[in-house]
Amino acid sequence: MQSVINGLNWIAGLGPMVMMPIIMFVIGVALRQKIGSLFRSCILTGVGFAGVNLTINFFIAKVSPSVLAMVQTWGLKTDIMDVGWPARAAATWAFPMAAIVVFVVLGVNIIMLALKLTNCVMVDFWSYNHFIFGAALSWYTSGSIVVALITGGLIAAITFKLADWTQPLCEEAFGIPGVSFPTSNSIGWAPLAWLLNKLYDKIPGFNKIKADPTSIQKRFGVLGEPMVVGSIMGLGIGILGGNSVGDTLIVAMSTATAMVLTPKMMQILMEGLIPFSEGIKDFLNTKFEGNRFHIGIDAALTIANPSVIAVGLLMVPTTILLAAMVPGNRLLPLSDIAYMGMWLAAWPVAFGKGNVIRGYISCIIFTCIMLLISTGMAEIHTQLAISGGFKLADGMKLISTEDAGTHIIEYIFSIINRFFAK
Amino acid sequence: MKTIMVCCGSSMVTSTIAIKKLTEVMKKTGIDAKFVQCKFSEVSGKIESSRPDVIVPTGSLDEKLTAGIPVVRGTSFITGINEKATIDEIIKILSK
Repeated sequence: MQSVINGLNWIAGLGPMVMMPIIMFVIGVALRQKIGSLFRSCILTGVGFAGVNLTINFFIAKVSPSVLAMVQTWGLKTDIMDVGWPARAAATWAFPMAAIVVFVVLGVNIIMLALKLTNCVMVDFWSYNHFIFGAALSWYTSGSIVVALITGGLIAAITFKLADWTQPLCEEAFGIPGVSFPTSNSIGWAPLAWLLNKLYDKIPGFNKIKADPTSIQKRFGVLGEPMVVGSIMGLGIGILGGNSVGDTLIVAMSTATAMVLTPKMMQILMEGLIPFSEGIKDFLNTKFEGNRFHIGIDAALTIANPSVIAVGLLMVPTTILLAAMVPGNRLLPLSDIAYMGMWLAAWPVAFGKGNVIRGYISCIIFTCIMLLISTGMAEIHTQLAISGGFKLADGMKLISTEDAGTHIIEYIFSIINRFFAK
Repeated sequence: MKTIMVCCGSSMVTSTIAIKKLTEVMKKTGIDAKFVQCKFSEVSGKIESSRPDVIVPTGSLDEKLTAGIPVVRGTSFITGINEKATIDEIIKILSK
């Protein structure tokens, strides 16, 4: 065990740009990928990772001084900057035990399928990153590799059960037959969404209200484009930070730049991961074929629903207000703001049969919880990001992401696992 | 030159998988095509500037948003089940 840990530490010490390709290569060989194309994919993953790092570091360096100035000038509590989910996901893949967690989760899925404990065939390799994140969080709170790996497996098992439970809804609400969404930071909210919807049914008068999503999309449509949102928010931060006109414009453009370029870098990272996702998909699809099974895919597909988009757009201005008002919140929503509202809207809209008002109210409750979890996770998130090669600007102590706050199951486990700390 | 618009929730993950698959298919069938990659919420805004011949959303997109441009759902590229039917449908539209 000790030599394994030493080996992992050595690889981790080389930095994520080098470590990622090595870890992916190990997974690839285990999945019997062709060495030639595997080699190319591994390097591409490392390149994508370096690209995400470059853009996020650029974003932090250009924008965080203004965030700090704004927080000090106005006596705000929101001193934790939201650096965006690609930073969280990339740092997660760079977690030294990522490869082991992948095989633990794959093993859990195969065993559960074989024992008929689930019907969910989890082919979505990308979404494994949420289980790795759960394991990483618990590693930081417990300091134990064994606890971290068990936690990763347990989170996966819970996620597959939730996927089984919500599967009939997937066709009805999102129009895709034969699939489910075992993406744990989406489906983790399904029980609460179900409960709230039951509650709405009981409120006289309210249970009759309906709302049309298309008019909202027409009016707020521009809020769905991160570049525009980024430049407006950057402008706001620049002005509130007391900058000169020139510096304010620089902050606005830097935020817009991060919003446009980070996804491009993420696409490169993703392209490098495709052979692995193909490998796992082929393997599981040939082993588990038939009507009993549903295919587990990325919950990002829920965002095609017009009511989800409408609620998400309404949540952009709402999230800013909530961040200022929710007691205990320290997160300044920024990079994730155009995306996470839509992400959280999926299950409230699904249980509410597309009702925008119900979706919006549930989403407000979810966002309050999400902000508090993001704040609570900030310390570990910052450590994970720093070990993933991200650099904090002078005076900036903590970063976090809205996305981290959506990991409700993972957060609960990380709190429980504090008790296992040595 | 044909334009294929591929969209998903984040414009990063599942649309990248679909584009990779479609790039191989286009190369094999000799169709000269370029790709526009965007989010579901950006589709109606981008149709005018990119004028796609076909739209391939990885999820179930509301057809009211697509201004009459043919839509072929590309979820099969993500699940790995029945990809061939999706590919055939896209090729049929592009070779019109």
